[in-house]
Amino acid sequence: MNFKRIQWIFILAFVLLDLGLCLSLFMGTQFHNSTQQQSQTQITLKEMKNDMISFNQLSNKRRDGYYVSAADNQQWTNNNHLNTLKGQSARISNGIVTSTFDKTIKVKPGIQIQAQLDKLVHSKRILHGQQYTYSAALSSTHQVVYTQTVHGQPVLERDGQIRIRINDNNEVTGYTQGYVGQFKNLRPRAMTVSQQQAVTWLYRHNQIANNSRIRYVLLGYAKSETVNNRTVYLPVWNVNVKSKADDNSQNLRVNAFSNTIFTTKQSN
Amino acid sequence: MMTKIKDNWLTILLTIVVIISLVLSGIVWVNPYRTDHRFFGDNTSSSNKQMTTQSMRDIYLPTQVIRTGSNQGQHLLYGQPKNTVLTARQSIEKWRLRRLTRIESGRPNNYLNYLRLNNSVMLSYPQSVPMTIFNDSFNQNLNYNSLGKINHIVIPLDHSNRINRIYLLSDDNYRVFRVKVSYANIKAIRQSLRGGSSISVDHKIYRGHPIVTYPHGVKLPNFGYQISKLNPDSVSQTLMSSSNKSSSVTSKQENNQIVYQSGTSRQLVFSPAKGTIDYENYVGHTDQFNYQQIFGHLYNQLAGTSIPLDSLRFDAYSSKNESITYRSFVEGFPIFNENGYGTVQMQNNSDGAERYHFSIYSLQVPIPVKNKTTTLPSSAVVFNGLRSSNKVKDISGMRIGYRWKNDQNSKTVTLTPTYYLKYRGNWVDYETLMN
Repeated sequence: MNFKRIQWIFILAFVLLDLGLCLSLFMGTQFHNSTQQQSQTQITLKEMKNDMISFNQLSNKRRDGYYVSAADNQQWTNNNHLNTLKGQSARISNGIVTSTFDKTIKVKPGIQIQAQLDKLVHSKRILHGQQYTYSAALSSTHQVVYTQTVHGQPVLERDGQIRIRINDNNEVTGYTQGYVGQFKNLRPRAMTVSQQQAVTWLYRHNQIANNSRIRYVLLGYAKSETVNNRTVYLPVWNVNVKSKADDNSQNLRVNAFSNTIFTTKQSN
Repeated sequence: MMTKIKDNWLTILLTIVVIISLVLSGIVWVNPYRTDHRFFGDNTSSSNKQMTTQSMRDIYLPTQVIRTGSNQGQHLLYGQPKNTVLTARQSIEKWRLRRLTRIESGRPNNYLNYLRLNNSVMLSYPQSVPMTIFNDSFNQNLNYNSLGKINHIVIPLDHSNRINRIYLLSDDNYRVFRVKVSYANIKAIRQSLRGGSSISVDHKIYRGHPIVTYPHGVKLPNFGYQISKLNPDSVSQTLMSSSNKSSSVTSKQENNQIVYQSGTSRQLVFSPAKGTIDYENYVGHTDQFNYQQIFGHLYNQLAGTSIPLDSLRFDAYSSKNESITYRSFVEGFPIFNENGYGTVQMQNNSDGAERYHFSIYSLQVPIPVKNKTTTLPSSAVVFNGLRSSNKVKDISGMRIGYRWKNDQNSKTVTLTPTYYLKYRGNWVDYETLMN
């Protein structure tokens, strides 16, 4: 072995060492979560698996959110205005617009559905349509849901949603729409609990039945009290649980700030 | 020259990688793991702990944000949507603070110059906190032997958005420490100052302590909340049956109070008229915690009580009876109630018994209010009033706080701002004091 070769081997070894040291430095600064809390939650998650509750990876990252209020306006539009919308007959009742298209719109089912429906929702055929965003989690084959958003998170009430009806022939027949105006912050940004914290809280309080599947855990805004003509919205974790035995599914909601069960009349 | 380099480039490359590895080893050596250098006081993890919405890092955060302009003009900020304290924490926890250097000590006027540092934002605690608590909240590893307690964090807002130092201030003997940081990015902090509202303030030294004064009359918003109520039965179950399952909890009525007992050592007294709970646990021994440790210990005790922690923040520590007061805050302002609604006092077992004092009432969901604002006079007017009623000699502090009026039947409350004065050791509102 000549001297050059030995030098090469040394260079290679030191480069590897440098990489290792860099890695350990970065790791050292990143894992500073309270390990104790983590392991407690991990134990609960394991217990859940033993109880035949299945779920995808749940995040332990805390998120942030706001207490907001919105105008409590059931008359956000009127029938005269709705009559001007083209190609449909629409009526408002209790703040919800119900519309049927004169001609059904053919759509291709599958992943492309969002791109096709974005064109419709964001067109002039739907009032304030630009303010609504597609929600994959809330949508099903026969009902595609678009929601208004608060600080980037979906409104989980029908008051802030467009629900598009799709029939068995993959045709859009019409939609229902609620609209919430004038969101205002009630308090500055604050941290919420994580997905894991919310789900383990529900499990500990016997809210999640054995032999079920958690379909999704979604952070969104739900409505609380209405005071002085303004409705308070707050961030909740919406945990959708489906029984494995039958087709029943239910939405469990956890107040994401206080990590307690959140109950209001659910409008579905 | 060039030929020499060409001939020996392999050796030069080897030298470079060796030097890099030496430097990296040095860094790892000096700064081994920044993970668990925290003082938790003790490690008795209660089963409720993980259910808390506010970790120790949150409850011991600074509450007050003051922005200083270019000519020492100061404004107290509140209601910034991004939440400056939260944003600053999220920025600082990524920085690596090092090298505490004392640059001022014992000179009140020089200290004031740092409290009013031009082009800076200052985050202040209601009272000093131990360095270990600062380290925990901001994920740092500064030496608590050089600086044991901190009142203020001053962040210079340089134009470049990159800073190389911050200042930690301790009211105790007017000490200012400079801390080095490498090119820390303050863009997010600067952005978090936008929006919201501000009121004009100034710092003064009053009886040896710096206080915030309000040179002009101020207009502040009222805040509305829904009130949540703890059930004393379930609180007593949580506190008294957790560790000692063999003895059951009994309760009896005594002089308009309900007394819960578990064995001979634990007692909880609930006063329905005031909505207060007094809990005593004679543990039979004393636990010694030093100043750096006791904050962690008392937080752990608090986390095991099932009291909602949502709006609670650290407010005061008393070394005399080793107790900490946690208080509800709204947008950085403390909330006061004569029956202690929204306040928790945790006392260590320095005399053999640990004692908790708290209210069953706490603030839950904010609600919009009808009467939008309240106007307050300048602090000079307040002090003139105190002087003319001859009470100024018993005053040791002043701050603007929000009053939670007693009303046990109402499910909501409107908090209104007013001046609170520390009169003979207690916070009393201005009107009550003047009557």
